[in-house]
Amino acid sequence: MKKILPPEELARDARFVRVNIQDTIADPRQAKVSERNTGSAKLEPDRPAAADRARQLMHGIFMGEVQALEGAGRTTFDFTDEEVPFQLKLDMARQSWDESRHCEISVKLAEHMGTEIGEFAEATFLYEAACAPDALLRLTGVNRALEGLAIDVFNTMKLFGDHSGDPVLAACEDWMLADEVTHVKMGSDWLRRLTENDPERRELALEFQRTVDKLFSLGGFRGETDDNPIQLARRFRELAGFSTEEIDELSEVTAEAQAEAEAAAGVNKS
Amino acid sequence: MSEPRQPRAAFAPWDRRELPGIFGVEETARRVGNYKWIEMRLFEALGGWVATVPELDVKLVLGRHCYHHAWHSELWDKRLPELREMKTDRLTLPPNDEMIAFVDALREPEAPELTIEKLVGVYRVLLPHKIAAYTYHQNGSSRITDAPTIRSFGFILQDELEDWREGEMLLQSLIETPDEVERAANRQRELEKLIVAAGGIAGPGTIGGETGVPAPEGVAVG
Amino acid sequence: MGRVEVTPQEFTYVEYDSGIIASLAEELAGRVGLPDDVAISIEIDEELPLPLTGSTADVVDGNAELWFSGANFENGKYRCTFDEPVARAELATNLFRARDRLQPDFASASPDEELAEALRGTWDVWAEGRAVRLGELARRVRRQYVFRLYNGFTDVADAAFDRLWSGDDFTWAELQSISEQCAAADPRPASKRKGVPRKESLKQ
Repeated sequence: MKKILPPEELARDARFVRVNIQDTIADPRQAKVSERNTGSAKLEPDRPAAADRARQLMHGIFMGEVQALEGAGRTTFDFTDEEVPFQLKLDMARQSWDESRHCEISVKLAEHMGTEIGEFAEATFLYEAACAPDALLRLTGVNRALEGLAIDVFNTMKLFGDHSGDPVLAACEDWMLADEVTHVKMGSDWLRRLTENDPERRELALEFQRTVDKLFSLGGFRGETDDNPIQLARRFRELAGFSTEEIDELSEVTAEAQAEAEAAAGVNKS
Repeated sequence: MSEPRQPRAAFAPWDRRELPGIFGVEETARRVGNYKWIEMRLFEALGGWVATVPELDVKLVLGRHCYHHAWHSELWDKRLPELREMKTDRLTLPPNDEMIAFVDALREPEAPELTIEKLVGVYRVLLPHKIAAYTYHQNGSSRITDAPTIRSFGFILQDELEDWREGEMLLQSLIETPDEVERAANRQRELEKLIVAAGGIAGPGTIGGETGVPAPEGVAVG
Repeated sequence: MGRVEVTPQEFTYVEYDSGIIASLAEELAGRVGLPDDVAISIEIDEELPLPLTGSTADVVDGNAELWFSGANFENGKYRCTFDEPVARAELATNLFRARDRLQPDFASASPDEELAEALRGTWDVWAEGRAVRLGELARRVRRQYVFRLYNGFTDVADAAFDRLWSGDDFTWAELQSISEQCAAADPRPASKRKGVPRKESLKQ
């Protein structure tokens, strides 16, 4: 088995169809929707199409968990004993188990919401963060950026469960949220330990994280305004080791991502 | 009412533990180092394979089992300093080159259509050998002098047996045709030869026989 | 020219064919039992992608007026492409509701955009259950999730769902009563229940 498995080689059964996330973001219909005044884009039960938006997001969570599992698993394999500390490998193995459970939870929740596995197309941009050949960059991309996005998504979904009175959804999302905070904290701790005496390398890793964070903001899917379906979960990010300054910076990155996507699509919001 | 000052035997009548075991400290440490090494190579392989198997149920089980074996390696890593090996990497080794050849062959399959080959290597070859090795070591150790190692064996063997059963069930659900039976048998034969050549996960004498293991320390005290 | 008119005639953003949609609607209208003299107009908002689904089925001057988000006919695996089984189920469900509106005991039912989500959800279950019995695509759990979202995650709501899904005859008053029973059993605070129409709409 080779080291570093490219995203196009991720193994899937016949139910799954793959798309390029950039094609989805560039879909001209997205720009048309952005121009409409349909109120807050937040995922709330009283918003139009709430059920199908939640169903599709749940499927997206499932696909994200599969890729997070694959990414953590690959990190246990791709690096030699000399390249990464033993304890880091153990953390990644633990994360594999957690992500495996998250996949199981997501499948059950998708069934609960009437969504079939493979009902929606899969984009592999999350796994791409797990392909960095440098372990530090990979850890930063996966555990700080990808798992950070998971915190934001799970918190949004948990609130949706709370607000809609769905006890199954709210409880399960809360359990997954607890795990994700652990994973992000793991990433924060390793980033600090691996770059303790190397501020230059640390800055390089953080720059990589910023790039990944912008990509993961999906042109306005995540942010802190009414235009963003997924909201930044500040409290849980703080628990996971993000400083207020880092969260503020992330907030700016999400706004930039949205502005760039809107400019590219020629959105006119006047 | 019992009399608190009445002398009692150090061992209750039902406590049949004996001294000593068949392994000394050094041999135990050597074996534990081999165990840690194989657990590491196994959890890496399982983690790496997750992305390469298309079967969703297999993918999720591999993710879970990956952690089980990582935890086993952690238990062995923690035991090594207690066996006088402070630099644990020094003993985190394969027993011989034949074991390296076995692991290389075990981890070689990558293509998505090779799930049977991947699972046979783990669940029909390596795990049965690990279970045999751990059981032999557990049964041959004194439950007094080496209780900490035996306690780890208890946790680990519980995982190993459950994972073995789960992996075997996955295999039985995947093997449906005579051709697939052949594939599984061929793969098992190929890997079995390699692990036999290595003498087992701790080398020759893994489960007794020609061991090269030093004679038991002291005499049996029952 | 048939009795079904589809707008737009030509689609720009999605790979839909208005002729195919019209012929599906024509066929399904007959199977649903919509009288032959009822004209059907279908408007599709092709600018709305998945998951922004939505639909309305009203009767104006004796004619059926259906509106769909383009997302209602879209294949989730292949962006912008038409999913015929899903489209058939959507059309049949809404044609059933248009037919219901032609019955005298549905005369007091508000237009769809003014219906409370809970009541609309109740009606949709009954309509989709009938469409499934015609042989159209069954998405029972999906429909139940929508129903629970607006009528509560309770045993009362689940029992109501079963009745609606398998029932053939309900009056408008009965649908209202079922929705009210669900609301009475819903432990959510009144502000979280969906007894009023939502403020925003995808329909423009």
